[in-house]
Amino acid sequence: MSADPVHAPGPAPDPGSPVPESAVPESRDPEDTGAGPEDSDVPWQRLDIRLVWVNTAKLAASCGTGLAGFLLFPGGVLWPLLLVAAWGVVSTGRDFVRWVFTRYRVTDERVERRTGWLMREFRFVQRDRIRSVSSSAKLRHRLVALRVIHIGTGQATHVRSTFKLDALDRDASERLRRELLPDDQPDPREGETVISRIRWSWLLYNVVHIWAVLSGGLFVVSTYFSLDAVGIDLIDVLTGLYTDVRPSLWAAVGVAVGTLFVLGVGALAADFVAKHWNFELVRATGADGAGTALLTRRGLFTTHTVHRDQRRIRGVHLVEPLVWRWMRLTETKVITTGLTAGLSESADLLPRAPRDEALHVARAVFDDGRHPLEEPLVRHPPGALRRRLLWATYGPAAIAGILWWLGDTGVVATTAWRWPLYLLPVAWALAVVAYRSLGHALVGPYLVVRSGAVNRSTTVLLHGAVIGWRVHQSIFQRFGRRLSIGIPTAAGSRYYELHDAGVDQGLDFISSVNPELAAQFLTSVGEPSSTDSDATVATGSEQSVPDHSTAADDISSHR
Amino acid sequence: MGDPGALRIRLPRHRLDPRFILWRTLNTFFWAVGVLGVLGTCYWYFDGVRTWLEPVLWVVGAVFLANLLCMPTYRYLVHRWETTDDAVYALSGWISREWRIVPISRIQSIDTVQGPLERALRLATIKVLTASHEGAVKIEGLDRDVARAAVERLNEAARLVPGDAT
Repeated sequence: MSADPVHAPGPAPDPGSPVPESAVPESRDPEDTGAGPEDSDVPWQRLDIRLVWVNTAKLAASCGTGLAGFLLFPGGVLWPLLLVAAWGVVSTGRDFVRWVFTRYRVTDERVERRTGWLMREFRFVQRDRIRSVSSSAKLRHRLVALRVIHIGTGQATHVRSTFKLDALDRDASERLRRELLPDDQPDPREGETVISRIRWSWLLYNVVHIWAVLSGGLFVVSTYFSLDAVGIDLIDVLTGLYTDVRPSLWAAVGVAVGTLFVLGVGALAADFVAKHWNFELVRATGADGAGTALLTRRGLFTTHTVHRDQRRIRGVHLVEPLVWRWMRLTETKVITTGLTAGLSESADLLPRAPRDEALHVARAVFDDGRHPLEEPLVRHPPGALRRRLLWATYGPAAIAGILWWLGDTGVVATTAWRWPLYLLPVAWALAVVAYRSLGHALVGPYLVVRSGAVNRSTTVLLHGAVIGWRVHQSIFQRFGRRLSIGIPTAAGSRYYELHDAGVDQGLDFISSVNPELAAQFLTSVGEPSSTDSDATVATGSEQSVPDHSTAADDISSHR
Repeated sequence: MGDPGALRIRLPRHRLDPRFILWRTLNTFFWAVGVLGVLGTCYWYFDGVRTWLEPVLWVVGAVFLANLLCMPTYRYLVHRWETTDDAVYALSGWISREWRIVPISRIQSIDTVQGPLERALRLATIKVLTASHEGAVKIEGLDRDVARAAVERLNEAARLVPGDAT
């Protein structure tokens, strides 16, 4: 049932002959019309030769600077430069071979590509399976107006882009994109409304966080290796500095962490600027007003353009980190099929930005004029708060108990059991925060669920995107008349949860989202449980399966 | 008893095969032998760990004993399943409970799995997979023939419903 339009390397055709007999890519899909290239007289096309020139130029440049550095500082270590040069030669050669042996064409039915010198590879994508066409360009591509085309299909299992053409002329790539997805991706110059543009005040929100120290560390390590190549040993320099100044230990640690933080912030800022230069989020509308898409453009050296077809958009996901809640900072992601959202950056609608901007963007995502994120949420029963306070109490208490026992047997210090108890107030505060973020709502065709203590995450999902239900009830929830609902979906991170709702709230939620399905499995308390009588429709083998259903086993919302 | 109109979730229609109890008991037994065996060997050979390993052994042993005596039967009493013309519905759990519903239109594939123990006991497990890993439904401990009939039925139904609508 999960058809795979992409094919593993198989025996591929000779580049010269248009219709080879031997190309048999494996296919699990009976609907695939053929195994090899189609009988079609559409000519095969090459990638752009400028790719080879620009790669050669890049190789020359990198070897040249390396050589110059080595000549200027003859004491340096040679092997990193040699490695870089060797790698450059190999990759340039490989690019040349790739250019020689790669052909692609677009027929009426599919996009085909064959490539490879020793390992021949033939790959095709059925055109009706194509879900996204995006383009990217590294700096060297942009210097000569080239673009890398990524063609994606909607397979849940495929993490990588299934089909890549590296690289085509900018105009050719634009034509190809419009040819493959004529509905979704109209000419970018007609009917564009800008939803959001980068504001450089956002820079601050995106660089000041705890990871800055780590990325500062990475920066120092890479500096060490670069300086090593020109004969400067960073460790020697720092030890020399330390012995000259002789600071106290705490001062040294403080200065080190401070320096790393500043360096890290600098590195993150540079990265953010490079990634989000000219960032804009626009809604592109087709000439006839038919298909629309959300389009992100960004990048200083490497430009990215991400198209998200409106018909594949299933919702929006906001994440608000607790530390920044007072500044109302929010990360905004779109939930869509076809993109591997969650991990991938292409799901990000906005960098970390103020909540008002996030809401503004969310309003633009839902093109039916509803504002599900601005509706008030339904609170969950107070039992959910008690449960969280209990967790927050017995977590540290259990650790304290274990530590006390370990202290008693002499494994750790005898006072160690007190330490976790100091965490209790923090844990209680987090429990209250967690309870306050619980909530859900139903707004028109959307469902909204919210939860999380350290990161409060709000999910808006279309009812139609729900592909099943998972109702969970622990024994304490059973006594407290609450339940949790798991919401599987084919888009985004594929699973969202409604935590600790009251039984009535939860079951009402399910039956409002999915009335026909709920009618089969949820019954009103007033009605007799009538469904037992027509058990014969269920499977072909009921006679062998005794039925002992009793109403007492049901969870009923009123006892 | 409460307002009319308030909802309750009804039970799926069918129980599992009673051999499920034997299967889970054997399963738990083998796990217990493995885990307690490793811990016991450590206890036997290394003097240094005895002080803290002894209570751990007692706790793990007690948990396994409770699991062995109560869990399989309790689970048999709780677990239920059902397939209708447009959904698969299953209830599982013992201390906590979980109801899972998958509409047939959203099914991506249906697997039948039989471990060595299950084969010996003529049992089978049905796995119904969707585009979301967490949305899958697993029905363990069905009689082999019942499982086969259910899978055939589901495949037939899934064939009639177009698309996985993703």
